[in-house]
Amino acid sequence: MFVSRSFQADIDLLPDMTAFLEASLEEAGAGPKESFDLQLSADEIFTNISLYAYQEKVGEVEITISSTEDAITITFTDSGTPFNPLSLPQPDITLGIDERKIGGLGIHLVRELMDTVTYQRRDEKNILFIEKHRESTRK
Amino acid sequence: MIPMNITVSRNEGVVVFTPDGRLDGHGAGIFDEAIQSAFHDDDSAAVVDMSLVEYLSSAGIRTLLALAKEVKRRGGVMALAGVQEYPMKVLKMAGFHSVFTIVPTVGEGLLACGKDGLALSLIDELSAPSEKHGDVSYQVERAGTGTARLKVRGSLSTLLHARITREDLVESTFTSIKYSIGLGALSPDAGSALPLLGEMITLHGAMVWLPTDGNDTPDFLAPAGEDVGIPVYTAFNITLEGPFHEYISFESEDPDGISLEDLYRQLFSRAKEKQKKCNGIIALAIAGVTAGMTGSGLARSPLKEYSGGLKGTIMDEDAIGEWCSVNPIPHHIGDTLVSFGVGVDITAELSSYDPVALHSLAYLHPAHKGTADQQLHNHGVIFRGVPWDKNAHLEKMIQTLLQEADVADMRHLLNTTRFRRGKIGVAYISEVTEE
Repeated sequence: MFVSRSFQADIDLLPDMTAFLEASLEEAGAGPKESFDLQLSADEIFTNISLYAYQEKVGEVEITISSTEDAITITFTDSGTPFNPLSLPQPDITLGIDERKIGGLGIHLVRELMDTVTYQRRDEKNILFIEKHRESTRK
Repeated sequence: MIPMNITVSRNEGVVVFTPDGRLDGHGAGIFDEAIQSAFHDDDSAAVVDMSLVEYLSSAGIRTLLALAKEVKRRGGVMALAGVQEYPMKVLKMAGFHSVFTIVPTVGEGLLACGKDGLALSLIDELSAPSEKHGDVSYQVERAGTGTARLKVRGSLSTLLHARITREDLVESTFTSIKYSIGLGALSPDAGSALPLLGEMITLHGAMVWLPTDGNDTPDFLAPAGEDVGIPVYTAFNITLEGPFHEYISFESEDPDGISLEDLYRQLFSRAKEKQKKCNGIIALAIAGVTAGMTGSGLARSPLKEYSGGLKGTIMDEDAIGEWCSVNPIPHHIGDTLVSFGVGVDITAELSSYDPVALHSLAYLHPAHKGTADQQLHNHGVIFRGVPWDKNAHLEKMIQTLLQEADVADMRHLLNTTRFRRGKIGVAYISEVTEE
């Protein structure tokens, strides 16, 4: 399966993106666990791109979902400011309520939930690729 | 897609948020807005019922963390109740399961918040036993022993009959006055002050007044340390000289609180019971959380030159609409209200007071003579942005509010204004003198 759709990078469109994702993952036959993990990861990435990629300007993000028997992958492509989220330092998740920061938490969750996360800068575009193995194929 | 829906309720003094939907970047934005407007000044604890939230992202965690910090600033605890499996997994992955108080049910959340924390503190209870009148408990702390007197400038009757002229205006400064109320204006000269005269209140040298310039918006002048350079012109003023004899903390069991008139009434009857040296007049400074302020403001300066055709007073039924803007509907619920004013117990002897000065202080409408038991005159300021601190002393609390809070409103208080809890400075007035 292979589906692709472009969204305006706008946090108000997050519900639309989520609906597209839910439908596509169902079509790809994702189990509840994969589906939730991919949704959260896609949510974090879409939110980041919406808030930071284009600053004040309007821009788009293309979301491509493909699935095989073994895995489901999602690719996010935007033409915004060059930014590799994997370069962010790991957040310190042991601090107390007053010291806790939220920055970097989203990508931390993505790394925890996904089996593969890669970033490429190509043709003036940010390309972030995430992959989740199917539960049923895990040994 | 189901949009995020937030229900906010109060349970035993704890704010309970029930978000229904996905707590993602979109839902968190809606939750943030609900939090902004949810807190009353005396709220210090919150429970988030997470039982309808199936999905949580880092944006949702950001909102929960901001809420936990806000509640901590207010000296309380936030608890998450009924967290579902997937959101719990996200909280664990993010390392927040150990930061937040997480409990199975809202009921346990309320317990975790310690509803008793809101009551008058135990230490107060030990040092000053509480008295109970109706739904209200009072804790009394003795304070000054000196003589308290009221100094009256101008006459309330002149004001109410709209007979003020330029000759009635007196220039003065307020930086040295702790508590006063009256009618005045901040203006470069008497001539320009006259058409702007409005209700004013002095609190610890700061002046808040409601100019009659048609904007119905209070103006606030904090003492800048030295001479502020702008004179204050007053046509009528009541100043407290001397100490408060008692500081009283009070708290109502009724969420609708106690009215200003009932507070005065209870203090008068308590004074009789306890055989206080009370001759029938008391002055009160109150800082409290209002359960609804009702107020009025002059819409037009009560000048003789404006009063053509006025037969009685500006408070008469046929005139009040023209002269006053009255709002009898309770508002500012949950905000901090600081008032100062005086009350005269009309059923008391009152013979120990100078009758002329007394007449200047309190004008009793002929229509109300015989029916009213007390005559009250109070002005109040609504402060926003500083949570209620039940342990702060009245005077310290007022200073903090003047320095840190925003002035949101200022009015002549109607007697139906209600307080949920508060601190009162009580001065038993033994003398009223004309200035």
